[in-house]
Amino acid sequence: MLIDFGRAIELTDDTIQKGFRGRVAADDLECVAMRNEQRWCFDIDCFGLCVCSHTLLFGTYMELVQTKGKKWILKEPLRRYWQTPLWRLLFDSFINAKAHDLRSYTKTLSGIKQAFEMHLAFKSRELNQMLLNLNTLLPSRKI
Amino acid sequence: MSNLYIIPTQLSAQDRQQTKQESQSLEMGSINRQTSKRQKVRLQCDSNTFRDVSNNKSNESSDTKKQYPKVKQKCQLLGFKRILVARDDSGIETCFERERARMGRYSQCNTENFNTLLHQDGLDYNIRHHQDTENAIKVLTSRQWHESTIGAVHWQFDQQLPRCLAKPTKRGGSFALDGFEYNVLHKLGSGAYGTVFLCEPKNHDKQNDEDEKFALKVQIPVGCLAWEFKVLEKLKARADDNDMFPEASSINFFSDGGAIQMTAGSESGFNLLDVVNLYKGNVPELIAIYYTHRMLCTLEELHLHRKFLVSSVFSVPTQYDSPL
Repeated sequence: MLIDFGRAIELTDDTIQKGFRGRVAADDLECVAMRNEQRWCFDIDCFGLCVCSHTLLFGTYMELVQTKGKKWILKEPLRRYWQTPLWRLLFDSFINAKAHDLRSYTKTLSGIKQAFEMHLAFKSRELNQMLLNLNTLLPSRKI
Repeated sequence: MSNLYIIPTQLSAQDRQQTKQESQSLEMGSINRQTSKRQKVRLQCDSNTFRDVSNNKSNESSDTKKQYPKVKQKCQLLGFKRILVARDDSGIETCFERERARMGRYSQCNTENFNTLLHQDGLDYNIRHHQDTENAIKVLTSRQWHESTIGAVHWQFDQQLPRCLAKPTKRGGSFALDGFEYNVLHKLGSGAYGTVFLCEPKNHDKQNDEDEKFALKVQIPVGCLAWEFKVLEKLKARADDNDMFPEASSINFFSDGGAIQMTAGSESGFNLLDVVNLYKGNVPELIAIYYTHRMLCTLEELHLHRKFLVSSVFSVPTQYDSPL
């Protein structure tokens, strides 16, 4: 469940069109548009999601490097035995997202979601086993 | 000097001059404060509070006078240093001047920017967020809110935060909120500003206690808290089922902080970082895919259907009873 809406902001047609500016997060967690001092809108949450996924996947915080083509890519390369097309799709389109257009953003998001969904459906039995396993690993409460 | 100063748009010329004077004296005040003449400045500020109103007393109707001390008391206790009350055509407009120390690093903004929110290249997030919190507090202060919404608002300025919430210990403890007694079970999580506890009613049935537990978010600067309460209300209003996001049931303001009562996302308080630590940094890829997918679903729901941005890196407490 997603929690903490203390710094949330309401989206209206007007704000989507105009976008926001200004810096919000700590330095490493600033999304690409903030680093380039451009406007941002949906990208801030997309970037947040990337940070979370990266932490899950690599076990380290996300670090980015800029390529010659002014594109930001992950500092750490994806492992060969991972589902590289899936992750590349996620990180490439979300880190460098310039989503001020609601329609294109919706399309990207649903595309990525579908890709993940398909993979999970393909491995559903294995996943169930793993989640049960995780359930037993976790203690009942945080100490 | 970046002072926050809200001035209603339709001020009369006289009022405008007065507020100008006030802002000058305020700047003086903040300079003095830096030179450690704190006591003196505070006295000065107190005597100046509500000067606008006292000057215009004869023009105002009797019932605005009556309302006025209450607002004053509320706002002062909330940590607003001074309150300006200025008259415009629509009636009394209350404006807040908040202690800058309480606002944190994001909330300093220029006076000029405040009225001209629209910029050529996008809206300034910090100003927008600030306005949102100000509005939330204004709405929560007004009486109508009590009557019109699902969540209850309680003002308890005569009391301080219960001790077990302000200074949590490992043993938990019990506290009273709006007439009911509750036990603190354990801490769910904590951040830079506040802490979230898992609580339950003191005299409840131990057999069917599943529904009665709730999360209590305690925070010292109440601006963000008030805004969060409003966000949760709006999130609820914009969809039929609310399994994806917490649901607020009440907000309590004390003299030194506030607390939101809401449904607990999980009783354990585990978040994704705990999962990572559990696997010592090597989370199986499938698990990572699973959680990423769930985050994508949440994001889609939030952005496209409920129209909100989280705008902070979020934490997702683990709940995985129904995979897919």
